[in-house]
Amino acid sequence: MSATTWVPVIGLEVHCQLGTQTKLFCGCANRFGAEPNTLTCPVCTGQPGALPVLNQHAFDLALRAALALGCDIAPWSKFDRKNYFYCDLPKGYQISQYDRPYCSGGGITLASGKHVRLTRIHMEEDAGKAVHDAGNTTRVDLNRAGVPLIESVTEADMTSSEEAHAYLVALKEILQYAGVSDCDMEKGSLRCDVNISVHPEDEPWRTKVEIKNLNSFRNVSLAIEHEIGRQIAAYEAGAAIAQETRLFDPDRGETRTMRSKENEADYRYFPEPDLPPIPVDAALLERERGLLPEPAAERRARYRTELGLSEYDAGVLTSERGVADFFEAAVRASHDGTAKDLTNLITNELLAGLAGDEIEASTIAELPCKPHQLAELVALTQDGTITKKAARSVVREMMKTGRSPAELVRELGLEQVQDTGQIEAWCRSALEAKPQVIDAVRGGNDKAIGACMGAVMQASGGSANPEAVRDTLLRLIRESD
Amino acid sequence: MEGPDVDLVLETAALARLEVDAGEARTLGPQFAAILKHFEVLSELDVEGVEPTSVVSTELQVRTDEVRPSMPRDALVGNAPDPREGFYGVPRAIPKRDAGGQGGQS
Amino acid sequence: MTRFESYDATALRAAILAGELSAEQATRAALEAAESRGTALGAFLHVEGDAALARARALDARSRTDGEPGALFGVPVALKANMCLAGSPASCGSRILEGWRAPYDATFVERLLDAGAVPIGATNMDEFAMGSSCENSAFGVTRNPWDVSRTPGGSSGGSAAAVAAGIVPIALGSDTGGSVRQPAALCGTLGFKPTYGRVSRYGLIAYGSSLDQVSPFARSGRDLERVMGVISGADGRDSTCIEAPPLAIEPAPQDLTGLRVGVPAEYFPTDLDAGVRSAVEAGIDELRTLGAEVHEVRLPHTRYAIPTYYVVATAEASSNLARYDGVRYATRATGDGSLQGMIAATREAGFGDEVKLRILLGTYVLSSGYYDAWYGKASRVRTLIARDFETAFGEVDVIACPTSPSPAFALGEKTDDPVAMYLSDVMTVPASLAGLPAASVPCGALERDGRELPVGLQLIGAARDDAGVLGCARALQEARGPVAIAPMEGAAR
Ligand SMILES: [Mg+2]
Ligand SMILES: [Zn+2]
Repeated sequence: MSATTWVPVIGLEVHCQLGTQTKLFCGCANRFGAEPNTLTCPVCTGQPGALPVLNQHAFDLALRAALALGCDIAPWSKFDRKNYFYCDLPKGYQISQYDRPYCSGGGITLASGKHVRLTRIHMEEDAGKAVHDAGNTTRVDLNRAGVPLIESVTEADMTSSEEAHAYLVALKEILQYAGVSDCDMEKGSLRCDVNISVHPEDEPWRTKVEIKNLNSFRNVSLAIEHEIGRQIAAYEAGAAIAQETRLFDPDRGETRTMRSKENEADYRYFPEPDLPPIPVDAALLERERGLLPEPAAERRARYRTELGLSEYDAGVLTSERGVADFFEAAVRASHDGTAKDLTNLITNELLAGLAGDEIEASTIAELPCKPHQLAELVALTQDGTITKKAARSVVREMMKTGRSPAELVRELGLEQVQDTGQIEAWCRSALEAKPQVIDAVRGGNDKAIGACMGAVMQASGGSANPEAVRDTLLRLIRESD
Repeated sequence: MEGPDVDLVLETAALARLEVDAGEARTLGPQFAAILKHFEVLSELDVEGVEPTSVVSTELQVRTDEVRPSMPRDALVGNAPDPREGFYGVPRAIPKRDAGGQGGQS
Repeated sequence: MTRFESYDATALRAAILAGELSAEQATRAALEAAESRGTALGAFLHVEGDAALARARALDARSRTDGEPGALFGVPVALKANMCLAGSPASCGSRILEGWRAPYDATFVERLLDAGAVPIGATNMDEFAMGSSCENSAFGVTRNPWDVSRTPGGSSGGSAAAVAAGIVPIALGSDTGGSVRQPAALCGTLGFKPTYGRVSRYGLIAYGSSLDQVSPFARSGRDLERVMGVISGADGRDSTCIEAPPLAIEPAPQDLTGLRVGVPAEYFPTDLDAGVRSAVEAGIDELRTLGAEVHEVRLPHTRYAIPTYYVVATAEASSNLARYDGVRYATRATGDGSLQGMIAATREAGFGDEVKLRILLGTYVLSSGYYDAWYGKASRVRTLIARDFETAFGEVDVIACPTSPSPAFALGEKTDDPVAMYLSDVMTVPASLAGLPAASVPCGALERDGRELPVGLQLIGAARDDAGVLGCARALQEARGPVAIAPMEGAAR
């Protein structure tokens, strides 16, 4: 057995679709899931004579992404044509950026403290989609052709699949928070290629292999693990690793050759003559800087220090910008000290509801109930109007209808019973049914009172104030001396 | 080996997706060579420090992010050699492609 | 020939508005001429008679109270076959686009229609505008109406012949390296290439994107101004289009007194055709008579213009023509049954020899290892050529020189020698590379084989001085008198 310690070297190239209304160079809608070829025009289908015109908002979003990632913005950049033939590429070239991308540098510091550097980010247009039938044909849908993308390229700074995964999670979070993209891998909004090599510790880097076709975080991890293993095994068997592009086959969990170095395409990049250079003026940069939200990592820290939430809760609340924004709006509408109650309702009820089938909305912002209503509901538990348990039933109704919590409490008859006579009557019958509780409490076991409390709460249909019930039971036990 | 001009024509033709056969390449090769020879005069010039001119216009016209109607599908797919249920049909195209994995190279 | 066929567009519009004839009559006359003379010349690839007559009748049905009539009201026009008119064929003279009909209107076509022009059909051209003689069309050659054994020039030879033969008063062509100025000179019409970006290219099927400009032919200077007034101006569909209002449709005539005219020695080589030299010198004398001062200027990088142009134009073309892959429109060949085989077979069957040669050249000059020496170098030399002009325009207002080094040459004379053919653009490509406005104006004739052949004088202006070049062209044309309609000699043979 060899005692060599192998060090993987990993870099990522991530394509991210920008969340614009329209495509990069034409007015067709940038929308996923439409009927094939219904979102196309002469420009994005490459009809003879049609010309591209840049969507300014796409460029603004790209700038915002670069600012959020700490990149250096070029004072001007330009588009280039990348030439190759494929059925999903209508013009026979992709409008991309080659030697003057709009930004360079920047990077992400992972939770582990590791800093992953970005080489550059450039803008480009997406290709269409080729669907390969079972038979002898491929069918092409050009709805996606021309959708704006940013392609971010890291330095080969990562050394494990865990680091690559952490980088992707962090990148996705930053881009989502900046409002640049929904980063939905299922819709193909985020796609990843991996560059990977391994070398013995203290030796120079070896040949790198590129892996394409990675459409989930899980597949990225699996592909990296598999490829590290394949390369090490080859070297240890005395074989060489060829510089090539490989595809990951998710069904078999392995990578296979797509094309070798000798067949590497010659893209014949040259400046796009249909698009003059893109200037960046200071005012635009400042405006985009102003639109950058507080990053998720900073929010998490603030929730812990200022609101006293646990690391776990802070993490769940900041997992999506929409959830964090909702939570913060609810906190602003609430009294101090309610953050934990709000957190419980959001994480246990709203997020669970969104994940289930009963609720139509897919994001928290789409729910009919609004943050201020959640604040009102928590206020009702704070002033003793309802129990926390009742609040949970109310919020489940609110997220279906958006009706006010006060109205729902009244309609569902959930106000706590404040009538002491009624509570005392329920307590007396509970103690009569379970006289052993009296002895146990007298014997110093206060917890035994729970059995009676449960009976009273049941009798009241959950509307009795638990504090009042407890006090009443203890008083009756004392009085029965 | 057919001689450098003919080989160059064949290699370039493959890149340009032109099915040039050896016979055609033998005709095109000398023309190609003659043209390039005539163009060699460019090598006389020193262009050190001269900025390239690739686009003549200097002001970039842009558009706002507003949706404009797309074209009726039939007006475009209807013009295709092999329209299939609203798609463009082509000969089966996997697994080999020029660049990129399925779901868009770029 | 009926009387009004010798009218220019300005006079024809006035006659229609005065009720001397209807738009329908004007269109019928043009259609008949397209059928007779046009067929003899091979000027048209496609004539849309019914659509043209329907448009003309709609114009005639217009009420007098419908507001100002358009600047080209009732004027029949011809469009080069690389221009998109919704529903009409635009084959670019290529098998690969045979049968394809444009699904949309070009911006300049929309503006022509709005101005009341009546397009009668698509004119013949060198395939994808690649040629200088109109012999590279997949659908037959076009002949010069002054001598049908000769070329009309190219690539917009069909439009030039149609105007020269009096079929239509104005026609549009596209000028990439001289494809309107050179045929205008060889056919004895006026032709004008605007400043790059003056006319939107949206709907012009691309050859060399950084060079292509929609450019008109006419038989009078005032018609050139009129049609430029209609088609010029900012357009949100072409990023390279200049953000400026349209040129004036009826500008005041220009007074040439004190106009500084530059004459570059580089454009009068010792081996320049003697007949061309004397006609052009006569044209320059005419400018002097009109009050212009003539100065010598230097354009030292002129000799590098042809290689620079052919590297840049073919590089862009190799990319622009990549979309003809048999996937989305037009023709398809099966090949070996694979996707890439289908693409290659389609392109092999669809493109003609000159197009293939230029795609090969363009692919080569961009390919890895050759880019810096060819495309990279050429785009820097292009800067030097543009600087030559900037320097010259510090001293003069307009440059005068021949449009073409020779008159119309015989069909077949240069078809086997691409370098000789490329050299026929030597006088026109420099202004194209610099994006400058340039006109060709008839300045006389010479005799060859017993026939009179026209000679053109080229006027080049500073960037964006389209109005100045047009004004000068008009003054020269008006001083020389009406432009003759070609006699169609030899057409009967
Ligand atoms: Mg890319
Ligand atoms: Zn579109």
